[in-house]
Amino acid sequence: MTLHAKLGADVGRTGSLRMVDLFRSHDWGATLLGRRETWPAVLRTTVELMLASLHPMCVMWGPRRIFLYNDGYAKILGARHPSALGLAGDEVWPELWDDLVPLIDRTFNGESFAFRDQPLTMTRNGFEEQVWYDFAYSPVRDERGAVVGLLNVTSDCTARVVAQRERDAAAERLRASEERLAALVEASSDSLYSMSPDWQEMRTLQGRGFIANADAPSVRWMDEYLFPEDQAEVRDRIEQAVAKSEPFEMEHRVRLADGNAGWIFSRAVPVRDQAGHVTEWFGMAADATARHRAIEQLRESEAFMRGVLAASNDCIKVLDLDAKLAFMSEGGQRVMEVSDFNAVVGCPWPNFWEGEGNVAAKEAIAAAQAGVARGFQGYADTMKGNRRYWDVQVSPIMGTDGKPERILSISRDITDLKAAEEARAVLAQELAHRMKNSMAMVQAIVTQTLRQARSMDEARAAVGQRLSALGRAQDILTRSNFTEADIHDVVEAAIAPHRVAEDRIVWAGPHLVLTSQQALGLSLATHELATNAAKYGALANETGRVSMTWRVEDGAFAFDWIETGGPPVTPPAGRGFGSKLIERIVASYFDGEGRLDFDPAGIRFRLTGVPGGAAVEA
Amino acid sequence: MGQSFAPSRFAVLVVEDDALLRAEAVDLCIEVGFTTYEARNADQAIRLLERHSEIRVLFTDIEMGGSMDGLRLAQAVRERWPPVAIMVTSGRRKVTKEDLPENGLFFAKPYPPGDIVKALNGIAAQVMG
Repeated sequence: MTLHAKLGADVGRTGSLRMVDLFRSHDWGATLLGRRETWPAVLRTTVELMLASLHPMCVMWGPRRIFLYNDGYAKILGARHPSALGLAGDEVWPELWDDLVPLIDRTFNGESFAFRDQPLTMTRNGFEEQVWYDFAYSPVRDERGAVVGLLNVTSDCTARVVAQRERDAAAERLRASEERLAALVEASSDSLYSMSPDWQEMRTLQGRGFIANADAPSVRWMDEYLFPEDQAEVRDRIEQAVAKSEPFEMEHRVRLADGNAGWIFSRAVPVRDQAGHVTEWFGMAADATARHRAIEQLRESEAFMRGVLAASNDCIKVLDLDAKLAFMSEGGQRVMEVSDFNAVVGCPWPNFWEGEGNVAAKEAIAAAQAGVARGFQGYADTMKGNRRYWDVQVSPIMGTDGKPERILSISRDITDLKAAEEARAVLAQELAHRMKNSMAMVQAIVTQTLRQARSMDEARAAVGQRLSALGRAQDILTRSNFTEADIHDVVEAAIAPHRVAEDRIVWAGPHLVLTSQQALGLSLATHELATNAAKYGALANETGRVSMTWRVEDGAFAFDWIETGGPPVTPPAGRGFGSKLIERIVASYFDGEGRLDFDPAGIRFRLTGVPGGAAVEA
Repeated sequence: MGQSFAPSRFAVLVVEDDALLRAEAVDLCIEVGFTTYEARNADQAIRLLERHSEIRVLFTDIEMGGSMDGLRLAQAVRERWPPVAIMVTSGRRKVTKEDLPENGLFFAKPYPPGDIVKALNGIAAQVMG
């Protein structure tokens, strides 16, 4: 039997039989039991049984409870052995006797008792040790049935008690550990889950509020927790982890408890049995939604900023404090015609400027280094050598310590603006000149008119009309930036105040561009002719007609004014300013001749010359 | 002053590319009593100066077509015909003493006719002096 074999191995004394020797040599005659030969049969039988047993046993015999024991029990007695043999019970256990007597007496009255796991301190091996024993008191009866003794069979249950205690302690530790784990889980906001070894099945999931709980195992967990478009990527990572039995770790998108998309940081480790086989995966998932959204917002914000920088046609640059180029916006590289930023990164920025611009750039850098923003304008070539005019703002970029850390330089290509400004300045100059010229013409017209006038009234009317004709011609020139006008427009505007009936004044000719002087001259000439016609010529009666025709033949210009149906013409006695104007001055504008013919049938005027801006200086 | 000089020995050359302004300037000079020649550009003016030694006053506009403007004409005239008095007019630019030959006079357009008359008479007085 296992038990005995084990005990035998522990005790190992079946051969020594020391107590047998003691019993043989003991002077029993000197004891209350008397010589051994006189012992009743039941006592001898009991003693023999006891001595033969490997269980520690003792016997208390007779009214005085004479104490007998075997080898096993001797060890329990410790220092009381061997003197205790044959003594009365109260002599062996004086300190315990009062406690033991009731139980012993009851046993002698026929009851049996068993005491399990009784602690004892034993000195079996030269030092004190804690041991536990089971005791069983049973009455020993004589052949008449009277109780004559007490047999105490004991067994060393130390090993069992220690094992039990260790089990209890282990159980307690486990319970405490589980409690701590539970508390940890409770305290954490992370979700917990367990998966089958191949992850096909989700066994449990505590969602901690942010994702839905899985109360029952599910093989459809992917559809429940992941969006279709994310499943493949997650599955790949799971397969990698499962294949290598290495921890699974991934930040991925999930369906939150509220149905919206969220993010978790999930980590799971394989749990193995004693044989090393994975029995399940245990994992935790932290809600990374807020962090992920923040990162996404940051990314969006960065993308937004990048987009803004790229979209801007301003050349936005960041320089080191020593003015070396560190960054140039995409749009900036476009306008600066930089094909490879690496070719210019690190270059000292003021070197891009020449002359005054270089001085201004260095001053702006010095100001920025001192924490002050500064602007300037100047010429600089693009990387392809195209000259551009730039409006530049240089500002310090402050660090957290409030000191300039880097330098921001924003250059805007204002070449067109600069050109427009210059053109405007030129135009303003030109306008001033034309105005002076017009005033000079007015002065000449007025002076010439006054020289020829016979009366102030006549002079007043003539000056007014001539300036009015000049003004109408100016109107036409204004439409074309004062440089040229079409002859149709000029003739129409000049004749307009003189028109009587629709068909009495007619004109025809090709479209032709006149210089500003030609336009002014032809206007004045037309005015003079019309005024004269109204006073003395074809427009002085009800039937006369005026025809104006012009043409260009072989590069030569000819304009004809022909009056018909008017009163008979008589040449004037003298020539006034009007004649001088149409014959000499206007002809000069056309580099040609003007001839006035006082035909009795009607005045005719022919102007010949060079059309348009092709006037040749002689 | 008056007109106590011989017109045949004393003439004015008016150089102006605008016929209207030229006509008025010529009339003005004639009115004062000078023999007057007119040219519409520097090249015509040089040809007239070469032919008419009695020209003693050059009255020229600055902005003109042709091979040179009025200021260059004035310099050329001063070099070739030093005694010729120089009068320059312009509506476009302010002309300083440094732009003109020595003793040159400048009149901004439009000029008061009286100023021209006064200047011409002054020159005549010096020449006749």
